Amino acid sequence: MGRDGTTRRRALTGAGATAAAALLAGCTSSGGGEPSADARRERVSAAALRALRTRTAATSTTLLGRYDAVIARHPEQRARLAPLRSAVAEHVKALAPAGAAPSASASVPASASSSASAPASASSGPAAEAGSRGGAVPADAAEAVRSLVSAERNSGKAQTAALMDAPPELARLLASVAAANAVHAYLLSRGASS
Amino acid sequence: MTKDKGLLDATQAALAAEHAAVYGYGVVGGRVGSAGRAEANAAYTAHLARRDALRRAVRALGGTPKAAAAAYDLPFPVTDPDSAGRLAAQLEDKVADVYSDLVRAATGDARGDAAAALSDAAVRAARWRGSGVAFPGLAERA
Repeated sequence: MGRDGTTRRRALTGAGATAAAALLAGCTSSGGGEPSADARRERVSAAALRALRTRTAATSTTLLGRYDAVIARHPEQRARLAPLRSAVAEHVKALAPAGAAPSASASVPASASSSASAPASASSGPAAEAGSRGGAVPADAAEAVRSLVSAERNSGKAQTAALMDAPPELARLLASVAAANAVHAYLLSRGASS
Repeated sequence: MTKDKGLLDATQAALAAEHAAVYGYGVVGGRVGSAGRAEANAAYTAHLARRDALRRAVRALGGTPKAAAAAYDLPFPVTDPDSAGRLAAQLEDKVADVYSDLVRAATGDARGDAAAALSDAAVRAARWRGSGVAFPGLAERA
Protein backbone atom coordinates (compact mmCIF):
# COMPACT_ATOMS: atom_id res chain seq x y z
CA MET A 1 0.00 0.00 0.00
CA GLY A 2 2.21 2.88 -1.15
CA ARG A 3 -0.26 5.65 -0.64
CA ASP A 4 -2.36 5.25 2.37
CA GLY A 5 -4.03 8.59 2.85
CA THR A 6 -6.08 8.53 5.96
CA THR A 7 -9.31 8.96 4.06
CA ARG A 8 -8.79 5.60 2.44
CA ARG A 9 -8.25 3.78 5.67
CA ARG A 10 -11.06 2.42 7.70
CA ALA A 11 -10.92 1.07 11.18
CA LEU A 12 -11.46 -2.66 11.17
CA THR A 13 -13.59 -2.61 14.25
CA GLY A 14 -15.70 -0.20 16.17
CA ALA A 15 -16.93 1.94 13.29
CA GLY A 16 -20.42 0.60 13.26
CA ALA A 17 -22.56 3.32 14.73
CA THR A 18 -23.68 4.83 11.46
CA ALA A 19 -26.49 2.55 10.38
CA ALA A 20 -28.61 2.65 13.47
CA ALA A 21 -30.35 5.98 13.04
CA ALA A 22 -31.82 5.21 9.65
CA LEU A 23 -32.98 1.78 10.72
CA LEU A 24 -35.32 3.13 13.31
CA ALA A 25 -37.44 4.79 10.65
CA GLY A 26 -40.41 3.07 9.20
CA CYS A 27 -42.89 2.24 11.91
CA THR A 28 -43.93 5.63 13.17
CA SER A 29 -45.79 7.27 10.29
CA SER A 30 -49.47 7.54 11.04
CA GLY A 31 -50.39 9.22 7.80
CA GLY A 32 -53.50 11.06 9.02
CA GLY A 33 -56.00 8.25 9.44
CA GLU A 34 -58.71 8.77 12.02
CA PRO A 35 -57.20 8.70 15.48
CA SER A 36 -59.55 6.16 16.94
CA ALA A 37 -58.75 3.61 14.24
CA ASP A 38 -55.03 4.23 14.71
CA ALA A 39 -55.33 3.91 18.43
CA ARG A 40 -57.23 0.68 18.03
CA ARG A 41 -54.65 -0.77 15.66
CA GLU A 42 -51.93 0.14 18.11
CA ARG A 43 -53.74 -1.61 20.92
CA VAL A 44 -54.18 -4.72 18.79
CA SER A 45 -50.56 -4.82 17.78
CA ALA A 46 -49.48 -4.12 21.35
CA ALA A 47 -51.49 -7.17 22.40
CA ALA A 48 -49.89 -9.26 19.64
CA LEU A 49 -46.45 -8.06 20.67
CA ARG A 50 -47.17 -8.94 24.27
CA ALA A 51 -48.31 -12.40 23.26
CA LEU A 52 -45.18 -12.95 21.19
CA ARG A 53 -42.98 -11.78 24.06
CA THR A 54 -44.83 -14.06 26.46
CA ARG A 55 -44.45 -17.04 24.14
CA THR A 56 -40.75 -16.52 23.38
CA ALA A 57 -39.98 -15.84 27.06
CA ALA A 58 -41.70 -19.16 27.85
CA THR A 59 -39.41 -20.91 25.37
CA SER A 60 -36.35 -19.61 27.22
CA THR A 61 -37.98 -20.33 30.60
CA THR A 62 -38.40 -23.97 29.61
CA LEU A 63 -34.73 -24.13 28.66
CA LEU A 64 -33.84 -22.54 32.01
CA GLY A 65 -35.85 -25.25 33.75
CA ARG A 66 -33.82 -27.85 31.92
CA TYR A 67 -30.57 -26.29 33.17
CA ASP A 68 -31.92 -26.33 36.73
CA ALA A 69 -32.97 -29.96 36.41
CA VAL A 70 -29.55 -31.00 35.10
CA ILE A 71 -27.73 -29.00 37.79
CA ALA A 72 -29.97 -30.52 40.49
CA ARG A 73 -29.19 -34.03 39.28
CA HIS A 74 -25.51 -33.35 38.59
CA PRO A 75 -24.34 -30.68 41.05
CA GLU A 76 -20.74 -31.26 40.02
CA GLN A 77 -21.64 -29.70 36.65
CA ARG A 78 -22.76 -26.45 38.23
CA ALA A 79 -19.54 -24.51 37.72
CA ARG A 80 -19.50 -25.42 34.07
CA LEU A 81 -23.19 -24.76 33.43
CA ALA A 82 -23.75 -21.69 35.60
CA PRO A 83 -22.54 -19.08 33.08
CA LEU A 84 -24.72 -20.53 30.34
CA ARG A 85 -27.69 -20.82 32.67
CA SER A 86 -27.32 -17.22 33.71
CA ALA A 87 -27.28 -16.09 30.06
CA VAL A 88 -30.55 -17.97 29.53
CA ALA A 89 -32.01 -16.28 32.62
CA GLU A 90 -31.08 -12.93 31.06
CA HIS A 91 -32.87 -13.96 27.87
CA VAL A 92 -36.04 -14.67 29.85
CA LYS A 93 -35.86 -11.22 31.44
CA ALA A 94 -35.18 -9.44 28.16
CA LEU A 95 -38.01 -11.20 26.33
CA ALA A 96 -40.72 -10.99 28.99
CA PRO A 97 -43.32 -8.29 28.35
CA ALA A 98 -42.86 -5.09 30.33
CA GLY A 99 -44.50 -5.38 33.73
CA ALA A 100 -44.68 -9.15 33.64
CA ALA A 101 -44.00 -10.74 37.00
CA PRO A 102 -40.65 -12.43 36.82
CA SER A 103 -41.20 -16.17 36.78
CA ALA A 104 -39.91 -18.11 39.74
CA SER A 105 -37.23 -19.98 37.89
CA ALA A 106 -35.95 -16.91 36.07
CA SER A 107 -35.00 -15.21 39.28
CA VAL A 108 -33.43 -18.01 41.28
CA PRO A 109 -29.67 -17.84 41.38
CA ALA A 110 -27.67 -20.65 39.85
CA SER A 111 -27.27 -22.27 43.22
CA ALA A 112 -30.96 -22.81 43.86
CA SER A 113 -32.70 -25.78 42.39
CA SER A 114 -35.78 -26.59 44.41
CA SER A 115 -38.30 -26.12 41.62
CA ALA A 116 -35.86 -27.41 39.07
CA SER A 117 -37.92 -29.95 37.23
CA ALA A 118 -41.07 -27.89 36.93
CA PRO A 119 -40.74 -25.41 34.07
CA ALA A 120 -43.19 -22.61 34.66
CA SER A 121 -44.93 -22.62 31.31
CA ALA A 122 -44.58 -25.72 29.28
CA SER A 123 -47.52 -25.47 26.97
CA SER A 124 -46.53 -22.87 24.38
CA GLY A 125 -44.44 -23.37 21.31
CA PRO A 126 -42.58 -26.31 19.84
CA ALA A 127 -39.41 -25.74 21.82
CA ALA A 128 -41.32 -25.49 25.06
CA GLU A 129 -42.89 -28.83 24.35
CA ALA A 130 -39.63 -30.37 23.28
CA GLY A 131 -37.97 -29.01 26.41
CA SER A 132 -40.54 -30.34 28.81
CA ARG A 133 -40.62 -33.60 26.93
CA GLY A 134 -36.89 -33.79 27.46
CA GLY A 135 -38.08 -35.88 30.36
CA ALA A 136 -36.03 -37.21 33.22
CA VAL A 137 -32.43 -36.07 33.42
CA PRO A 138 -30.09 -38.91 32.45
CA ALA A 139 -28.08 -40.39 35.30
CA ASP A 140 -24.92 -40.14 33.22
CA ALA A 141 -23.50 -36.61 33.36
CA ALA A 142 -22.24 -36.54 29.77
CA GLU A 143 -25.62 -37.80 28.61
CA ALA A 144 -27.34 -35.09 30.66
CA VAL A 145 -25.17 -32.40 29.09
CA ARG A 146 -26.00 -33.79 25.66
CA SER A 147 -29.67 -33.40 26.51
CA LEU A 148 -28.94 -29.72 27.18
CA VAL A 149 -27.35 -29.42 23.75
CA SER A 150 -30.61 -30.64 22.19
CA ALA A 151 -32.63 -28.34 24.42
CA GLU A 152 -30.48 -25.35 23.33
CA ARG A 153 -30.89 -26.30 19.68
CA ASN A 154 -34.66 -26.71 19.98
CA SER A 155 -34.91 -23.40 21.76
CA GLY A 156 -32.86 -21.68 19.06
CA LYS A 157 -35.06 -23.13 16.34
CA ALA A 158 -38.21 -21.88 18.05
CA GLN A 159 -36.78 -18.37 18.60
CA THR A 160 -35.60 -18.24 14.99
CA ALA A 161 -39.06 -19.19 13.76
CA ALA A 162 -40.63 -16.57 16.03
CA LEU A 163 -38.38 -13.76 14.83
CA MET A 164 -39.70 -14.03 11.28
CA ASP A 165 -43.04 -12.53 12.34
CA ALA A 166 -41.75 -10.23 15.04
CA PRO A 167 -41.62 -6.43 14.87
CA PRO A 168 -38.12 -5.08 14.09
CA GLU A 169 -36.68 -4.54 17.57
CA LEU A 170 -38.00 -7.82 18.97
CA ALA A 171 -36.74 -9.65 15.86
CA ARG A 172 -33.27 -8.28 16.53
CA LEU A 173 -33.41 -9.42 20.16
CA LEU A 174 -34.69 -12.88 19.18
CA ALA A 175 -31.92 -13.27 16.61
CA SER A 176 -29.40 -12.55 19.33
CA VAL A 177 -31.05 -15.04 21.71
CA ALA A 178 -31.08 -17.71 19.00
CA ALA A 179 -27.40 -17.00 18.27
CA ALA A 180 -26.64 -17.43 21.97
CA ASN A 181 -28.48 -20.78 21.89
CA ALA A 182 -26.21 -21.87 19.01
CA VAL A 183 -23.12 -20.72 20.92
CA HIS A 184 -24.23 -22.64 24.02
CA ALA A 185 -24.84 -25.79 22.00
CA TYR A 186 -21.33 -25.42 20.57
CA LEU A 187 -19.68 -24.79 23.95
CA LEU A 188 -21.53 -27.69 25.60
CA SER A 189 -20.76 -30.12 22.83
CA ARG A 190 -17.10 -29.31 22.69
CA GLY A 191 -16.72 -29.47 26.45
CA ALA A 192 -15.65 -25.89 27.11
CA SER A 193 -17.03 -24.19 30.16
CA SER A 194 -17.90 -20.53 30.09
CA MET B 1 -39.37 4.49 1.07
CA THR B 2 -37.69 5.07 4.41
CA LYS B 3 -37.98 1.36 5.00
CA ASP B 4 -36.09 0.53 1.79
CA LYS B 5 -33.50 3.15 2.60
CA GLY B 6 -33.05 1.61 6.03
CA LEU B 7 -32.71 -1.84 4.53
CA LEU B 8 -30.21 -0.66 1.92
CA ASP B 9 -28.14 1.15 4.57
CA ALA B 10 -28.12 -1.91 6.82
CA THR B 11 -27.18 -4.18 3.93
CA GLN B 12 -24.33 -1.85 2.95
CA ALA B 13 -23.15 -1.75 6.56
CA ALA B 14 -23.11 -5.56 6.66
CA LEU B 15 -21.19 -5.59 3.37
CA ALA B 16 -18.63 -3.15 4.78
CA ALA B 17 -18.15 -5.39 7.82
CA GLU B 18 -17.70 -8.45 5.61
CA HIS B 19 -15.10 -6.57 3.53
CA ALA B 20 -13.25 -5.82 6.76
CA ALA B 21 -13.57 -9.44 7.90
CA VAL B 22 -12.18 -10.74 4.61
CA TYR B 23 -9.22 -8.37 4.91
CA GLY B 24 -8.80 -9.16 8.59
CA TYR B 25 -8.78 -12.91 8.11
CA GLY B 26 -6.01 -12.41 5.58
CA VAL B 27 -3.96 -10.99 8.45
CA VAL B 28 -5.19 -13.66 10.87
CA GLY B 29 -4.25 -16.46 8.46
CA GLY B 30 -0.66 -15.26 8.31
CA ARG B 31 -0.19 -15.29 12.08
CA VAL B 32 -2.58 -17.85 13.49
CA GLY B 33 -0.19 -20.79 13.39
CA SER B 34 -0.89 -24.35 12.40
CA ALA B 35 -3.40 -25.02 15.20
CA GLY B 36 -5.82 -22.35 14.04
CA ARG B 37 -5.17 -22.37 10.32
CA ALA B 38 -8.01 -24.66 9.23
CA GLU B 39 -10.47 -22.65 11.29
CA ALA B 40 -9.17 -19.37 9.89
CA ASN B 41 -9.44 -20.70 6.35
CA ALA B 42 -12.99 -21.91 6.90
CA ALA B 43 -13.98 -18.55 8.36
CA TYR B 44 -12.31 -16.68 5.50
CA THR B 45 -14.27 -18.75 2.96
CA ALA B 46 -17.51 -18.20 4.85
CA HIS B 47 -16.98 -14.42 4.90
CA LEU B 48 -16.21 -14.36 1.17
CA ALA B 49 -19.51 -16.11 0.50
CA ARG B 50 -21.45 -13.70 2.72
CA ARG B 51 -19.71 -10.73 1.12
CA ASP B 52 -20.73 -11.89 -2.34
CA ALA B 53 -24.30 -12.55 -1.23
CA LEU B 54 -24.50 -9.04 0.26
CA ARG B 55 -23.20 -7.50 -2.96
CA ARG B 56 -26.04 -9.21 -4.79
CA ALA B 57 -28.50 -8.06 -2.14
CA VAL B 58 -27.37 -4.43 -2.49
CA ARG B 59 -27.81 -4.60 -6.26
CA ALA B 60 -31.24 -6.19 -5.87
CA LEU B 61 -32.19 -3.20 -3.70
CA GLY B 62 -31.08 -0.84 -6.45
CA GLY B 63 -27.84 0.22 -4.78
CA THR B 64 -24.19 0.14 -5.74
CA PRO B 65 -22.23 -2.24 -3.52
CA LYS B 66 -19.66 -0.54 -1.33
CA ALA B 67 -16.10 -1.33 -2.27
CA ALA B 68 -13.58 -2.56 0.23
CA ALA B 69 -11.24 0.06 1.65
CA ALA B 70 -7.73 0.08 0.25
CA ALA B 71 -6.36 -0.64 3.68
CA TYR B 72 -7.64 -1.11 7.20
CA ASP B 73 -6.17 -0.13 10.53
CA LEU B 74 -5.65 -3.06 12.82
CA PRO B 75 -6.95 -2.43 16.35
CA PHE B 76 -3.69 -3.81 17.81
CA PRO B 77 -0.50 -5.36 16.45
CA VAL B 78 -1.06 -8.91 15.24
CA THR B 79 2.20 -10.71 15.76
CA ASP B 80 1.45 -14.23 16.97
CA PRO B 81 -1.32 -16.87 17.23
CA ASP B 82 -2.70 -15.28 20.37
CA SER B 83 -3.17 -11.82 18.91
CA ALA B 84 -4.41 -13.35 15.66
CA GLY B 85 -7.13 -15.19 17.57
CA ARG B 86 -8.10 -12.03 19.40
CA LEU B 87 -8.40 -10.15 16.11
CA ALA B 88 -10.53 -12.95 14.63
CA ALA B 89 -12.88 -12.83 17.63
CA GLN B 90 -13.23 -9.05 17.27
CA LEU B 91 -13.92 -9.33 13.56
CA GLU B 92 -16.72 -11.77 14.33
CA ASP B 93 -18.13 -9.47 17.03
CA LYS B 94 -18.28 -6.62 14.55
CA VAL B 95 -19.94 -8.79 11.91
CA ALA B 96 -22.48 -10.03 14.49
CA ASP B 97 -23.32 -6.40 15.37
CA VAL B 98 -24.16 -5.42 11.82
CA TYR B 99 -26.19 -8.55 11.18
CA SER B 100 -28.39 -7.87 14.19
CA ASP B 101 -29.12 -4.46 12.68
CA LEU B 102 -29.85 -6.14 9.36
CA VAL B 103 -32.31 -8.51 11.06
CA ARG B 104 -34.09 -5.43 12.38
CA ALA B 105 -34.22 -3.74 8.98
CA ALA B 106 -35.10 -6.75 6.85
CA THR B 107 -38.12 -9.00 6.45
CA GLY B 108 -38.69 -12.44 4.98
CA ASP B 109 -35.77 -14.39 3.55
CA ALA B 110 -33.34 -11.51 4.00
CA ARG B 111 -34.17 -11.41 7.69
CA GLY B 112 -33.72 -15.18 7.97
CA ASP B 113 -30.35 -15.00 6.21
CA ALA B 114 -29.17 -12.20 8.48
CA ALA B 115 -30.21 -14.18 11.58
CA ALA B 116 -28.27 -17.21 10.32
CA ALA B 117 -25.23 -15.03 9.61
CA LEU B 118 -25.44 -13.55 13.12
CA SER B 119 -25.55 -17.03 14.62
CA ASP B 120 -22.58 -18.22 12.54
CA ALA B 121 -20.51 -15.19 13.55
CA ALA B 122 -21.39 -15.65 17.23
CA VAL B 123 -20.32 -19.30 17.15
CA ARG B 124 -17.03 -18.42 15.41
CA ALA B 125 -16.36 -15.69 17.98
CA ALA B 126 -16.92 -18.26 20.74
CA ARG B 127 -14.57 -20.69 19.01
CA TRP B 128 -11.80 -18.10 18.98
CA ARG B 129 -12.47 -16.88 22.47
CA GLY B 130 -13.50 -20.10 24.20
CA SER B 131 -16.52 -18.38 25.73
CA GLY B 132 -19.67 -16.56 24.72
CA VAL B 133 -21.72 -13.54 25.71
CA ALA B 134 -25.39 -13.41 26.73
CA PHE B 135 -26.49 -11.28 23.78
CA PRO B 136 -24.31 -11.78 20.68
CA GLY B 137 -24.57 -8.90 18.21
CA LEU B 138 -26.21 -6.49 20.64
CA ALA B 139 -23.47 -3.99 21.38
CA GLU B 140 -25.72 -2.03 23.75
CA ARG B 141 -26.03 -5.09 26.01
CA ALA B 142 -22.36 -6.02 25.92
